[in-house]
Amino acid sequence: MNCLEFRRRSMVDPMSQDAELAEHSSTCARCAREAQRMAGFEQALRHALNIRPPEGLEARILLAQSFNATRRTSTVGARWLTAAAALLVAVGVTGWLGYRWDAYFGEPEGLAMAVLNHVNGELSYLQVDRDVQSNQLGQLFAHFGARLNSDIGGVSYAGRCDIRTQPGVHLVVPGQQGAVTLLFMPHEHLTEPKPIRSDRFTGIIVPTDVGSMAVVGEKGEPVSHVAARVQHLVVWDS
Amino acid sequence: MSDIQRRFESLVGALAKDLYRYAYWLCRDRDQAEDLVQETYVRAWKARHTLQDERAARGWLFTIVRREHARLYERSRPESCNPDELHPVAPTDYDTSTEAFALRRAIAALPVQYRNPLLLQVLGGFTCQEIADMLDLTPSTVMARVSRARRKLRERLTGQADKPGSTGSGT
Repeated sequence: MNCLEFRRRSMVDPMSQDAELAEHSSTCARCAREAQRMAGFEQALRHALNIRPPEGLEARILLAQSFNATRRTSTVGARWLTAAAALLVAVGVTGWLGYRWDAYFGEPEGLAMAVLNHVNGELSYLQVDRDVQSNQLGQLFAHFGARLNSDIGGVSYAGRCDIRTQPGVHLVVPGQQGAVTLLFMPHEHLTEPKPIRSDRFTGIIVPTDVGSMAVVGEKGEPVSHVAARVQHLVVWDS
Repeated sequence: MSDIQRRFESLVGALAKDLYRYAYWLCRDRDQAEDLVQETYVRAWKARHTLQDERAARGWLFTIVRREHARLYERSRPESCNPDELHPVAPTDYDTSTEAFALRRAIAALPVQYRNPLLLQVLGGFTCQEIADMLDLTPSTVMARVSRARRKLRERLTGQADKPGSTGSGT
C-alpha cells in the first residue's frame, strides 16, 4: 500500500482496524501522524454529533406504541362487536331477542359485561411491569380533557382503550389481591354504582363527574375502597 | 407481556437514542426529531411481522427514520437553509466548546448527499456496503461521499481556525 491509498482509505473510515492500514502506518511516519490527526478529528466529530436525547424518550415511545397496540386490538374487537350487533339486530327485527339486546348492550348490565369482556380480553396488561410516570399519565388524560390532581401511584400500564367503541383510559395498578384494572369511560354514564362479578374477578362501576369509572380486581379485592380513593384524583373538564 | 412486546421494548431500549440523534441531524430540530422517532417506532410496530431477521432491525429502523423525514419534512425545509439558524439545543445537552460548536455548524452546512452517508456511518455504525444498500447507491459512491464529507468538514474548520477567537479543529 502506498501513502496515497493509505490516506484515501483512512479518509473513508478513520477508525478502521484494517491490518494493511496498520502495517503501512507502522512503516511511514508521515502517514502515522496523519492517521493520528484523522483519529483526533473523528473523535471530535463523534463528540459533536452526540446530542443528548430528551429525558423519557423511550417511555414516550412505548406509550405511543401502547396507544397503537390498544387501538389495533380494539379495532379488531370492534369489528367482532359490530358483526355481533348486526346479527342481533337482524334477529331483533323478528322481535324474538329484544330483551337480550338490552341485556347485552343496554344500561347498565351491558356496560358491566363490556367491562368484564374488556378486562378478559386484555389480561396481558395485568402482567406488564412498567413504571408509568405521572407526566405520562398527565399526557394520556389530557387527550380526554382531564387532569390528575394527585399521583395515582404504582401504575404499571397506561393506555388508551375503547369500551363499546367509545374511547377511554385503561390503567393497571397494584392491589391487595393482585393487579387491579381501572377503566375511565367518559362516554358511559351511570346514575348509581353497578357491581361486576365473574368466576375470577370482582369489580364495580361508579359514576364520575364525566362518565364513569370501572375498578376490576381479583376476587376479594376491596374494589369499592379503590374506587373511592381513585375516583377523585381525576378532574374532568365538563 | 408477550414475546413480541418484549422484543419491541428491547429494540426501543437499544436503538431509540441513536435513532433520535440521526433524526436530529436530518431535521436539526429536537421536537421534529422526537416526532420522527416516535413515528418510526409506531410504523415498526405495525410492520413488526414483516421483520424476519432481528439483526437487520437497526438498518430497518434507520431507513424508516430517513424515509419519514423525507416524507414529512424534507419538502417543507429546503436544504439550502442557513446553518447559522441551526435550531437551538439546550446548552446542557451538549459540549459547548468552540470546536464542537464549529463542527456542528459545519455538519449542518453539509449538503444532504454527503451528510446522510456520514451520519449513517458515524451514528449508525454501518459499513459502506450497508449504507449503499440503504441509500440505493454503489459502495464506491458511498466511500467517495463520506470521504468528501470529512474533507469538507475539515476545510470548513480550517477556515474557522483562521478567524480570531476560534480554536479550529486541531487537525
